[in-house]
Amino acid sequence: MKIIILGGFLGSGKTTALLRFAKYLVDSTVSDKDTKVMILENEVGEVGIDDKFLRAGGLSVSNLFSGCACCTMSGELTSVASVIQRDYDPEWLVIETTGVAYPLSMQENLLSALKINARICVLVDAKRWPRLINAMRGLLAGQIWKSDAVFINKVDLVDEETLGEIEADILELEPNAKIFRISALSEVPDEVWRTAAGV
Amino acid sequence: MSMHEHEHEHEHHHDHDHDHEHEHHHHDHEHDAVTSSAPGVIEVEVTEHEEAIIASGALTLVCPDAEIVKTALGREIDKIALAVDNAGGIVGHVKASLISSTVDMLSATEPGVAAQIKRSPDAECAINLVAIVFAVEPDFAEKLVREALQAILNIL
Repeated sequence: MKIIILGGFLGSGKTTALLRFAKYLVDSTVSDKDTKVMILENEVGEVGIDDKFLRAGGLSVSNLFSGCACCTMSGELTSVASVIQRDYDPEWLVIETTGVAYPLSMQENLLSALKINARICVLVDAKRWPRLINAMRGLLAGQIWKSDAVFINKVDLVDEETLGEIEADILELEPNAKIFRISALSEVPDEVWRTAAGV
Repeated sequence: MSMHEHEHEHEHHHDHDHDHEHEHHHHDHEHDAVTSSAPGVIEVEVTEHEEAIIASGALTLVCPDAEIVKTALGREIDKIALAVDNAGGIVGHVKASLISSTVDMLSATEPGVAAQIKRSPDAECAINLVAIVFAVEPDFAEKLVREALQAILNIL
C-alpha cells in the first residue's frame, strides 16, 4: 500500500482535485487487488460533507471526522490506516486532510507506525492566496513545508502576474517545492498526477 | 470501484501531547456527531480547533421539491460568508450537503396483474451545514448556522 496525503487550506479545492487524482490512480494502476484506491477522509467538523460527495462519485471512502488527524486524532489516523491495509490492502490510500492540518506531522506518524513513507501533495487557492498568506502565514507555510508537490489551484481565476507572485511565495516557504498550476474543475494532464504520485 | 464505508468514532476529550488544541462547546445534546433527530429539528454544535471555529449543523425536513431547499441552502451559505466577513472574521470554508430521497412503493395483490407503483408525494431532505471560520466568537458562528437552517425551515 502506497499513501498520498492530500493537504491544503480550507476551500483550496482538495475534494475536487481528489476526485480527479483518484480517477487517474484507478485508471493507471495495474493490479489484481479488489480495491485499487481507498480514500480516508478527515473532516474537522462534527459532520462529514466531503465523504458523502466522494462516495457518490463511486469511491471507497473511510471516515475520520470531528477532529484533525495531524494532532488530536493522530492515533486514530495510524489505527485506521493500519486497518485499511490489513482488511483491503489497496494499491493506494489517499488521505484528504482537514484544511487546518499539517501534512508533515501525519507523514511522520504514518512512517513511524506503518513504515510507509507517504507522499505529500498540497493545494493552494490561487484566488484567495494573496489574502490568506497574510492572515494565515504560519499555517500555510507549515502545510507546504517539505511537500512533494504543490498544486496552485483555480489558476483560471487569477492573472499571470499574480500566479508568478504566488509561485515566488511558495518557493520562499519551501525552496524545493515542485509546483503545478491546475484548475481542478477542468481536465488536469495525467503527467501532473503521475509526477505528483511519484510513479 | 466497490463501495465501503467505515465510520470512526472517538471521545471528545483527547489526551495528547501535541500543541494543537481542540475544544468542544456542546449545545443541545451530547452526541459525537451532529444529527437531526426528527424532521424540523435543528441541531448545531460548535467546536474549536486551534484558531478555527467550527459550527456544525443538521436538519432533516420533508418538502415537495428538494430544488427549493437547494436554492435556499446556497443563499444561506452566501449569507454566512458575508456575515463573517462583515464582522471582521475570516471565512475558512462554509459548505453543506443535501441528500434528498423519495420513496417508490411497488405492490401486487394477485399474479398476472402489473404491480402498482406509487411515489411518495414529498422528498425527505437531510441537510448538513458546516461553517469553519476564524476570528469570530463561537456563539456568533453557532448563531449564523442556526439562523441559516431556520431560514430554510421558514420557506416551507
